[in-house]
Amino acid sequence: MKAPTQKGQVTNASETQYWRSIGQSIGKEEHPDWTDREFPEGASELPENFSRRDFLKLMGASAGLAGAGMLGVGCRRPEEVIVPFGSEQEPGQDYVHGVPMYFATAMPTRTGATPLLAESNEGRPTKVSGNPDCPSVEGSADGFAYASILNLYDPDRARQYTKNGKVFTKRNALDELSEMGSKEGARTAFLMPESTSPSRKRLIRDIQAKYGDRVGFYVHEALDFKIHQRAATEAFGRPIRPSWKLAKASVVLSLDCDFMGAEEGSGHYTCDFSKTRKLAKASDQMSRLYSVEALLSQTGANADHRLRSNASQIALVASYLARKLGIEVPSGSAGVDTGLSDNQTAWLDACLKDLKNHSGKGLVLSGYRQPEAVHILVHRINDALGNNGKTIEFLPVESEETGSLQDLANDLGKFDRVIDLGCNVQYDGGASIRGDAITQRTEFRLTNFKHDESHSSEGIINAPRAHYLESWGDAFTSDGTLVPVQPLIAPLFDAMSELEVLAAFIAGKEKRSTGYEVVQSTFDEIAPEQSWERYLHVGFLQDSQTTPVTAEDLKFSSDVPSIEVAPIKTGEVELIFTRDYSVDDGRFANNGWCQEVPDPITKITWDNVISVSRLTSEELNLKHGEMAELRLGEEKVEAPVWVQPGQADNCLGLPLGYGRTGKLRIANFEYESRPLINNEFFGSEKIPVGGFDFYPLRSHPGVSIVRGGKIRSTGKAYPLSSTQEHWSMEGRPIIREATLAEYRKSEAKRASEIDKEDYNEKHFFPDNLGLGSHARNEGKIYKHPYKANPETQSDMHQWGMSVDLNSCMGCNACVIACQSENNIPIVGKEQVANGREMHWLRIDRYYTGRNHNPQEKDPNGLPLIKAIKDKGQDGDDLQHTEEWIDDPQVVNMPMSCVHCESAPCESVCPVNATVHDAEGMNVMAYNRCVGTRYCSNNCAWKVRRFNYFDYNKRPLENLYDSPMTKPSLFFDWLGDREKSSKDEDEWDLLKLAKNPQVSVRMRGVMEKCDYCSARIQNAKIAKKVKAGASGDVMLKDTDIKTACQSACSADAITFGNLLDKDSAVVAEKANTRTYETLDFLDNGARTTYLAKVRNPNPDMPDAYEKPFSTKEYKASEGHGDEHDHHHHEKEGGH
Amino acid sequence: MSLEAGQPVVQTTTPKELVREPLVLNNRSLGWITNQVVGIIEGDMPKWWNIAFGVSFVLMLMSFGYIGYLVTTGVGVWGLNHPVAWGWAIVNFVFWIGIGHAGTLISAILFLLRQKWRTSVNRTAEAMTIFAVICAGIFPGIHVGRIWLAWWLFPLPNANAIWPQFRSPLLWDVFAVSTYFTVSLLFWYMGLIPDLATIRDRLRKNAGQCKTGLGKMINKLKQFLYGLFSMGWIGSNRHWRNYEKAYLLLAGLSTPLVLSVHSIVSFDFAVSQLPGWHTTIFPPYFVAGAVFSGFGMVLTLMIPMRTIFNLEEIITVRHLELMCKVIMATGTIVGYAYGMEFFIAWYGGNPYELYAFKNRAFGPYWWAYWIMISCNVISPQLFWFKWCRRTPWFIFVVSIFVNIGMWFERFVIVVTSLHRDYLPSSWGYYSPTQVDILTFVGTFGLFMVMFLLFIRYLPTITIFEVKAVTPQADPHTVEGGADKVKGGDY
Repeated sequence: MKAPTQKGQVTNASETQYWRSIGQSIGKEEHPDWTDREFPEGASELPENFSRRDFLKLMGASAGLAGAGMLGVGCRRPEEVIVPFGSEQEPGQDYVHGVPMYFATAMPTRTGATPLLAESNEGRPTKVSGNPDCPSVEGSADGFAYASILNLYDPDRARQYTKNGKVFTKRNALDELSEMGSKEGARTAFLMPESTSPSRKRLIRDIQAKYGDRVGFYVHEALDFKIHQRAATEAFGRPIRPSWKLAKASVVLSLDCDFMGAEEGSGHYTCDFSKTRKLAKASDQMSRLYSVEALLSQTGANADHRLRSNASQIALVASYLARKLGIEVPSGSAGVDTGLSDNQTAWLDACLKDLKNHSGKGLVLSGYRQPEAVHILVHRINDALGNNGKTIEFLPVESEETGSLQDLANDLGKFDRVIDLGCNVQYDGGASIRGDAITQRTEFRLTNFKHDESHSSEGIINAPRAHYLESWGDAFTSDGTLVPVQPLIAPLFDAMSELEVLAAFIAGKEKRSTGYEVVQSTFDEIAPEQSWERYLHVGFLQDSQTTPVTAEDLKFSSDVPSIEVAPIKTGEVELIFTRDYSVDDGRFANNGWCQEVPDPITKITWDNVISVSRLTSEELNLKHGEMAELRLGEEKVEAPVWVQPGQADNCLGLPLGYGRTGKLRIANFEYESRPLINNEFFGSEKIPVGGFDFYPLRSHPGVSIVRGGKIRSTGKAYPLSSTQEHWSMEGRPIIREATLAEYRKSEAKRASEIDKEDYNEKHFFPDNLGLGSHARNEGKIYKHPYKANPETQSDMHQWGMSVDLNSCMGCNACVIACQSENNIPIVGKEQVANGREMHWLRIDRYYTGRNHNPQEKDPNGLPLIKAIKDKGQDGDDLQHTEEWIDDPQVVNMPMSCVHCESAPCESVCPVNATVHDAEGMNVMAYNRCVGTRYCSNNCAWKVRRFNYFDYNKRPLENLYDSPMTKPSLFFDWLGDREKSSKDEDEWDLLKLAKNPQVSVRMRGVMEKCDYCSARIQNAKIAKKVKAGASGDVMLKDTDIKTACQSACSADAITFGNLLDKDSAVVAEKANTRTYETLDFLDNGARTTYLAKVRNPNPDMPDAYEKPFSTKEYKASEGHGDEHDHHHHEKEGGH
Repeated sequence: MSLEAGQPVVQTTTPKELVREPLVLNNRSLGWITNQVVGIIEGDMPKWWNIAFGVSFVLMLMSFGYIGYLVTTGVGVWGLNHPVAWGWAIVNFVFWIGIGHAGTLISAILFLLRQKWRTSVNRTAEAMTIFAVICAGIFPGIHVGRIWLAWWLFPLPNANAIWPQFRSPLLWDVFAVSTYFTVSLLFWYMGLIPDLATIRDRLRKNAGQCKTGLGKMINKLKQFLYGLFSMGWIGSNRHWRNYEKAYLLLAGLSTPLVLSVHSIVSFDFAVSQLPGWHTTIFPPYFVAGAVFSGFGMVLTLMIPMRTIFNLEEIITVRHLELMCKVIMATGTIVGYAYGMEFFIAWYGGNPYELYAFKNRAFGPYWWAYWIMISCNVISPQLFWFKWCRRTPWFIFVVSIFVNIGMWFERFVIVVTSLHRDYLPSSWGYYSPTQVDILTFVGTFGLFMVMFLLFIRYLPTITIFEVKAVTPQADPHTVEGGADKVKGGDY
């Protein structure tokens, strides 16, 4: 590390840079050019000794190319003033080298925006997190937001303006746009993705006003989240959109609505919902979640009661509920009551009773995959239950006059040209819309990638599309708050935003406004009285949220829609197209973090699968993990089959967004055969990565549920990389659960029996449920190695963490935030298959099962739950054939290093590379690690991660290569770019995303969670600076948050100082639900868990008195219910 | 003979004379023994030696090549993964270290116990020990992630005052194995000195027979080298007195090492908290297993050697039989340990422990477990039958089984315990890659290269000690009157 440059001291070593920052000139015209020395010498610059190849490239690229291209000729001075965020530094405060700055910005989404706080290190954004000050989301963000930073540094990003294959400049491109606009008689269609940007709306209005019929605007999205707005508008006859207030709901029924996962804004919904699941004490109220769905979604996985139903049958469910509430649902020709079994109606009756009992506090939700009629019915159901205006609000929206992709296809003849603002209709347009016709007519397009599906050079101006962190914009969040999209860095490749395109189109060559000007004037128009600086400073416009329509103003204007669903015929399957949890609709497909993050349900990485239920797989003769050919009409797709627990029968889950065909290094990749390492898993064939494209099976964008289609197994095996192969918890008390009733009972018992002063007895809850049979040994043989030496401990800070399993919904946001914070490399599909994924934080997902036959009852009249038989040697290969997986309960557990006080890893490391620090953390000295891996073997939680290869330096396809087999690698090592095997961009671009506060580990080194110790140290320094002579240097909860903690929308993770009696973590650990995983090992984990509590409704036909995991535990341990206490006593002395 | 009434039976029955089998058959003379042993070195090596050496050498180079590949690429070229962070490298390490146990046991413990039969086998067994420890030493060295920093395991003073972690069994390993290697090497070399002097003297005597100039030069070079390493041994009384004392001391020093090395190797596992590793039975069980595997390897090497070099009269069937008995005894101990592990897993009542052992026998690696059981527990039991332990080809086959079984024992311990431990979410499966397999195969090449060179240049049998156990060595025996001597075991 170079010594920090002093303020104003210019160390300008080179004029050339790969990137330019605008973060450096806060309120100043002149700024120190400190960015040059951000990396060790020679790493990020084009220094004195740049090679001949580089030079030629540079010359070629700079022919008529001012300041564009990868080589970034010339450092352009920043153009605008950006304002850092308020909570860390006051506006205008000077930059301090080495101290990260924070800026408020927002990630625009289809139907809103996620307000964010972006961390800037030496002028480059390295990390985002939710903006905690913005009231509309309360700091929540989903995994996509955390991952989006990597898209900025995607080496496959488009980098050049090209026209007819020739390199072009941004200025030329803008000139061309101005010409297109001003040319008399030419008719232009704009094809755009969804956006809520008021600036875009204003520009469109202006263009329409100026050019009238000469222009047309068409919006295309592969996934139709606008359905919520359309359905509400249709139902109530005015332009409104629903806004769910989950925090106010105590009974929620989700009809195929995955509000915790696949719905847009899931981060905020999770945040709201988790508030109703917090149990500080047993008497607290807790909400109840019912879910009716076909695919096992994250929402279904967290539901207290879940009913499997075909996706198309959801309409029947809705109409059944509506009719029960006295709403006349006109029936179609096939009738409405067909299709629901007695079991299902009994379930719905009991659920409806619960909803009725919670009138005004219940909420029925319908998901984006459902047709409009279902949504309208659901609005009526909520109305009948008195929920409208209470748990669901309706916000007025501005109506828009844009067409759909289908409209554009129809109107194509009317236009001379199409300007594409970043849609890839060639890929996701759907089978019946001929994307190539539109592409042929396209004359200008904003493109994300150098080479994607629709890349073409014929007559098209290709312009690189700017990332939201490098361009100006604005958006409305889900509650209507106006947020700015503030760039942190000047466009890396001089990329262009859609606002710039529109502004250029309307203006002449001379008075084009920049993105900044557009956004600022929109702001001035919306809030002329408000301060622009303050708006950027806090990242939102105070009190700008939309006022909801009052309940009195909500009148249904349309008739009750008729519902007609034909029963599924034998052999027929239903195709359900769904947003992928990892790559969205494909927009994150080239993002390594997204590809490698395990799907929260299947735990598959790098691929998508056709998910199918156990019974349907048997009926259709589909084999788990084998390829199948799926036909629908003319189209066919081959993809692997995955038998998914909890999936409804007769339907296939088809996650979209994979199977890209362009030259994308992450999304579309193939592993070469390896003559040296013919790993058993891969054989010698080439193995494709990046999944399968189901878009061709859809006729139109937005289509989600399709009946018909034929599927047959082709018998070919396909290797899938899953991070968790074993589904069952084997009856081990790892994730401890209780029902709310049980919890309350046990607490009452505790209150009467136990002396509350005794610390150990605070952990009474799991013990009392018979889950603590391997409880800590009271009379310890050995001295506590940490507590034995009190002089080595800090008496100011002792760190600890508590994870509330009742709040964790398993959304993966923490996993990606951790990856981003800690420079965790991706390892690729092949390595994941070998079990070498590097995530410091993982989410363990177990299925717990019940007996398949619901007719069998126990003496209390409840469905009998049988122990799951271990299938021994073939367990993992046969688990998908077992009956218990049909209706499983799902449990999630975030797992990372638990920081044992008596850490088993420390005593076995021969070189003292992993040691205990004074603040109770188990730390890794990476520089000291020689890589014996003994620590990993001795870790009972298996949370340590070993760098089996040089993941940070070698491209994924070169991991197995050695300079012995591939001499060019030797030049990588020497740093000789000219002779190296690496692509030019892989040298530098990927490095920009790294967090300079955390070291990047080389191969052969063990790594693991360190409670974000870099953050702790920074917080300590900041606190000391602030404290001055006052001596107030103890960190409080507000001073320090780990990356996972701040990423958790559900607030499931609490981290803090155990010596600070006011800290949240102390309060959490005092909760009686606290337990330690594997506590019998007596390692003294600093990360503890709060047991999960389920809230089943005893009136439901599928009620359960104990969670399945508890039943499993008791069955596998031979504990009968009546012997609980006896066993507990007997085994207490382990 | 007929019995008359009243006559005691005892007086009429001549007790059958119990004859101990001689240690050297056919009453060979002392000179014959020297000729037979040194003759191997002095003569030209047969063609098979050249072929075997060539093959072994190629295998060795292959192993070095794979190690080079490993070092330049990363430990990921092996099949290791996250639950199973130790695989073949550690299995091979323990396997080779185990083999290295027979030599020192034979030469030290049997020496102290005055088991004279050891004299015919100790030299080869000790050589085998040293070569096996060399092979073993490679693996912990190369299995670490950053091989170039492996020296940090040694407690070297440094400016940062960072010391190794003295609580780590891996560090104890470094001390145990290096001590064992050093002492074994010294012990072996000590024992070689009188024989090296013999060779040196014979070279001088044979110098005249060298016809060509090159032959003469080679003879001179050999004289110099053998002379150098025999350290001026002239067999004087004083030499012998010092020698005997030193040998006894080294034997005393080596004896605890035989027990300690594998005990400490077993601590690599026993000290951990992993079910399947965390077992107090490990030290004795590992030592017994090591002796078992060591004797297995000694037999594997000696049976062909004695036939090829006509040493059947010195390494007799009796020697083989005695070694078979050791194999049977230690194999039974190992079998008992396997059973006891299961009993304790059940009796201890720890469900994780119980699962680990059930999983060993019936989980995904069941085949490894049952190979281990059949090779280690069942096959040595055949030695209850006299024919089995006296038929060299049969012993050879069983010794191969023992080698295989003991490799699998280590595989079972290392891999099956790791692949499914506490949290089922982390369970995985480990399979080796080509690099794992061929690096290991290559170490046999290294071992054989060293062993073949040993045969080529050093006396495979301790000439002077064997002579000492022949009847002729007894001062009361008249040379040539050996036919009156019934047993050779004085």
